[in-house]
Amino acid sequence: MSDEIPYSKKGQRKVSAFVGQELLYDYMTGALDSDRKKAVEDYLHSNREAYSDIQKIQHGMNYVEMLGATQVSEALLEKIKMPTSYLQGLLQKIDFDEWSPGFKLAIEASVVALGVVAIAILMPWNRMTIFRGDSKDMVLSELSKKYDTKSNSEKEAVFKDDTTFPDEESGDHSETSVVAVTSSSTTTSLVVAKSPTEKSAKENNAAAVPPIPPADEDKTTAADSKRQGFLYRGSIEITNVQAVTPKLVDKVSELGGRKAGNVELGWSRGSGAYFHLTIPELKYEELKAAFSQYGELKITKEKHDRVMPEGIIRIIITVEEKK
Amino acid sequence: MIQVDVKSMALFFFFAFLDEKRAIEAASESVEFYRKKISKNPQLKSTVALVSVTKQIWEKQSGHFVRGRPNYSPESGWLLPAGIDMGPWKEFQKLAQEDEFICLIWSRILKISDEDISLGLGVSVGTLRYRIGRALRKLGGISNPVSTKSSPGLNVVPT
Repeated sequence: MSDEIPYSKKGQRKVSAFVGQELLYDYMTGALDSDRKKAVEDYLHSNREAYSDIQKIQHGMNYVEMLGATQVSEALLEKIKMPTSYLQGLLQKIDFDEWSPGFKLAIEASVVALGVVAIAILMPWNRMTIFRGDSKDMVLSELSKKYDTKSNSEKEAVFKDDTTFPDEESGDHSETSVVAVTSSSTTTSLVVAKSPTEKSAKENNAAAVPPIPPADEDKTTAADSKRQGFLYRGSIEITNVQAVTPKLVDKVSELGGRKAGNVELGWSRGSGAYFHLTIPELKYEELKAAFSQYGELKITKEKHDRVMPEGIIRIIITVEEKK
Repeated sequence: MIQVDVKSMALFFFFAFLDEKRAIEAASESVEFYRKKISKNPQLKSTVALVSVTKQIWEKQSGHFVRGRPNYSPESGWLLPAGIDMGPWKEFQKLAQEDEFICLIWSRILKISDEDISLGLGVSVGTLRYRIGRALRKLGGISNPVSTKSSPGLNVVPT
């Protein structure tokens, strides 16, 4: 009894397997007092599992002892001591982490706001088709109107050579007229309204009454009414516009082009010129080639309310002085 | 900043990640955190600050890290002892619980005292030693598997 460690009043209690397991590392490192050390040794003698564990711990300690001899090169140490990026170095210099969260948030918000403003200013909004007025046409209502089919004297051609269209660039549209004459027994006509912009309102003078084909061309006109109208819109930058414009006017006339608006072909507009014309579709490529001699002609085909007669196209080309 | 502390951080993250790129990034970040911590509290013991900082960075970066995919080369700047087999450590790093193997690095590889580690981690010394014991048992099993039927007899001398 005197040799036993008095773990309990009876002095019979030994170290349990659970406690013994947890004391093994302390035993290996000499962290136990003499009584506990003796108790763990007794436990080890009676438990083969524990003996195996203590060998594992010893192997583990030997292995990490070897790992502990790992060295780090001077170059690597220097690399680690250097800031990883310029931004990191800058933030470190100005003690960015020490700044108050509110101040940091204000700076971040300012940067974002500046970015948004820069995008809003620099973005070429007017070049984006989605923001153009053309797409804002609306059909307000469809009206029925019956025309007198007997009055043949009222029959006229829809588009004559002297048909004029509103110029988009000039201010005077008072003489704009479109011959829209009735004749057939068709009873449907369409009223088209545009968004209430000044430009659109001016165009409405001409667009409000769409052309109605003559009775003797019923088949053709029915097809026409279903066709989609187009407008060719182009721009070109030319050196010495004043000298080149007369040549272009001559060339357009030579190709059969005629003024479509109220202003003459090659109408002088500031330092540039303005061409609003109709031309046989077959001559379109030649016309492009004629303009392209003097610069890069950018031309787009846009949908338009007005349907041109078969084989005729309408073109607006703005000529600017090259900078 | 003492060179030894930088070396300890480099070693800690090397053995923790076994990925040289991550280790360098984490060690660089730790150096900056460590500088700030020491400048804020000059009385703080360097090893305690080191444990605290490396734990903080480890927790921050280990979330995006998959263990068991070593990525380092002999030219990376960590000079391993000649003839050492890294296989057991790779296996251990893959299998061991996180708290076990990082405690083992601090205690047995960086040789930081248990008291300083426990202060840096905010756990008791007993808890720390329990974790280290478990870790060593696992690592020893991997590095040199011992049969449970080996002959009894105590021939291990406590250190």
